[in-house]
Amino acid sequence: MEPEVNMLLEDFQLQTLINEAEVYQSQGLLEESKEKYLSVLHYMTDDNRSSDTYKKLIKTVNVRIEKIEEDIADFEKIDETPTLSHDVQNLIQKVFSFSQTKEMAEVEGVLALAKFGQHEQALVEFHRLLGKGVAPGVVAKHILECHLALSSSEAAISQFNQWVANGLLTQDDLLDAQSFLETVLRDKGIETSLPQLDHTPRKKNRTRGEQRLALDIYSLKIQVDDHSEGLYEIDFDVTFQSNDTVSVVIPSEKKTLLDRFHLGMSLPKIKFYTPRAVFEGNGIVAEKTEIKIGPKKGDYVLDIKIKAN
Amino acid sequence: MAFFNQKDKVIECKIVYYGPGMCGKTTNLEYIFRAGRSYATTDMISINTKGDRTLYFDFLPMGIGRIMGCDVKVQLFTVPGQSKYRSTRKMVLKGVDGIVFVADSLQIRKNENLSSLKDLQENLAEQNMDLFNIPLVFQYNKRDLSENGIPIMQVSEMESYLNNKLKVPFYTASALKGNGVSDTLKKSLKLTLRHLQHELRWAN
Repeated sequence: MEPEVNMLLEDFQLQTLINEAEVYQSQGLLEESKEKYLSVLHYMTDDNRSSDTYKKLIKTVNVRIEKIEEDIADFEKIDETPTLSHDVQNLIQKVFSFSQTKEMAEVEGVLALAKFGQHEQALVEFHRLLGKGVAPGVVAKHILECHLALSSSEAAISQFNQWVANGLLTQDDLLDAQSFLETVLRDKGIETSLPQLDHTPRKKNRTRGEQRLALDIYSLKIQVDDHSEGLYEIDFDVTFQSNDTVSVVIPSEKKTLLDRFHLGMSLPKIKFYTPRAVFEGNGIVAEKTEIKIGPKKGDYVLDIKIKAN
Repeated sequence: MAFFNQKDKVIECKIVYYGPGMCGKTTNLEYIFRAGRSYATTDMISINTKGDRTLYFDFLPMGIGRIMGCDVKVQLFTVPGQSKYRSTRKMVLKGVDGIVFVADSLQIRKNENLSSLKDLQENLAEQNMDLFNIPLVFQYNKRDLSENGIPIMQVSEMESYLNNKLKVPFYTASALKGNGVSDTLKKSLKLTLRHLQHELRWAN
């Protein structure tokens, strides 16, 4: 505050309000600071004094409010996906990959890059993985996702057409990629005709539910019927997805939960969570396996084969 | 997700500093980096925006020496506190072994503390983790601001509305001055390693 207005600050309430406003501003709590400065103005208006010093103080407070509003506007405009340095991109790939197998860890690392908005570098890395033949079906869909995230539907379509022409993907992987791309483009309201593919390796009439499996499922909610507790729901994170089967890990200490699932058991009304939507379907318990090595040793993997509605 | 290399006797774990925006998570890590530089295995990495708001995360890897015959390495992360960055917080939480919840002592940030704690609980649940079972320490930060006449919550009030059911250890702190920062980290490490000892049996 300017020296000539210090006398006003003898007014304890005014001083308290200004002090709070200044501290909140220094803490980066801009909305809270603005609110306090507005309280200062309100207080002074109520006080109904009109000396020059008062006017100066009101002017100073208004200037501060304007500055805070500018800062708030600046924060709203910031680029939320800045291109990070190569070192930071490498770090993200390293610290956000958890799988025990090298190949899946690589896919996870690149997927993390994409999730942190580094789509261009993720594209480079996914293409490298695809070239090495790492999880082609999964990687292909992520490549398309990166193109779509970069607001380039044309590039995604062009990429898909290229795969159809160059034979880099198997027919099944192409069908998965096509189904995924068609779903996303349809959701975006983009009408386009992708090349016709031979559906013979799969069921002739792929149902809506199966087409949706081209989306990545990151978690699911399963209804469990417990005789003592009745019907309740449990959330699982998907640790691996391959075509129509998803895998979830059940910790060893929850063995009783695992025991509620027997091979071939039907699981109705599963909610599947994908990055874009939630959908409901049915499933069948396909496999139960104990993990023999690694930090998850002793835990169990439950494989669920997803059935169309 | 902690990693235990049985052959080389190395254990790596991950501790995440969680809490509402501008509560002092990054300040904690900055102090730890300055004060414990000899333990840091690389520079601290911050991905932030204008005004020092964390955009993605802060990252500080540390080697804290041998404990019970194993080399213990810890990765310290912060999350972006602003509510709009929920998906980033979920990413950073992946594989977490221990959590420090930094609560803002300012009276005006009471609701934000509670929202952030609920957000943490929901994000953990999505990873099949339970707030009540994960090693968790509370830090009630910015205690020094009361000296400037700023209204802050009493510790008993913070305990009552944040930690009443969880009943986890808590520390008061002024991260900017470093007060309470080391104690919080030490307690978090102790709880996390004890938990991992039970889970992974990394030391006999």
